[in-house]
Amino acid sequence: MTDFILPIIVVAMLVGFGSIGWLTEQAHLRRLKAAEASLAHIVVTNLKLPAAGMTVIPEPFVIGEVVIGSDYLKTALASLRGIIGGEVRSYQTLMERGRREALVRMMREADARGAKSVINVRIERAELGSAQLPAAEIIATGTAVH
Amino acid sequence: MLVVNTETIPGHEIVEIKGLVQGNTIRAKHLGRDIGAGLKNLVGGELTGYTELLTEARRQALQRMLDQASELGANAVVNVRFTTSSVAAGAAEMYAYGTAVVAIPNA
Repeated sequence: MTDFILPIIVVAMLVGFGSIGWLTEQAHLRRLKAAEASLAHIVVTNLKLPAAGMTVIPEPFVIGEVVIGSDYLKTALASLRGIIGGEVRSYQTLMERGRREALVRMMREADARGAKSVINVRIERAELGSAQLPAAEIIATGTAVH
Repeated sequence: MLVVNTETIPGHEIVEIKGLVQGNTIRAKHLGRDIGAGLKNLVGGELTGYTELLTEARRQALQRMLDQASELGANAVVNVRFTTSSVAAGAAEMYAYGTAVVAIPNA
């Protein structure tokens, strides 16, 4: 009987924390969608060259950064994937959330400074040394113009 | 000081190139943050402590780069890039570099 207690606790933790993680993710994706819709007037490109007539705003360097952590269920699912191979969907959505959140923060900064567009956007993964924990560490930079 | 990550400054002309400027900082995370992040990793979501760490490091590196640029007499830095590297376990470097220039607005 006692042999079953530990596995049961582990499974309960996975399901418990995992479902909180899932709800957190769904809420985050909804927030991202709303934020992206409200910032749709900012045209974002990764083109180096500005279109004709564009001028930089007084403080043109805009940055967005975020660190989003994985949850227990995602981490467990990913390690299972490591056995059978294939697409690791749980980390795919994690990285997607990180990138979109960093972009939204960058666009918010541009919007607050009165920019119409952000050019030469670069999205990079930062290496913070927190790699022990599966996390999306993203930094997005761009040049704001109007 | 105008800072951009493009090679040119839209609406401005670069009249003089002063050279490469750089700034770096190496940050260690404190234990409290690690414990907080570890707990947050159970349920997922933003690791706010680490985001703050990223912001602080980026500001510091950028500021050091800008100080160098003003020492050179530049009024703008173009093509700014960030790079991070982990120097040792628990310590990460944030490095900012760009080209210091003198730019004037197009008439």
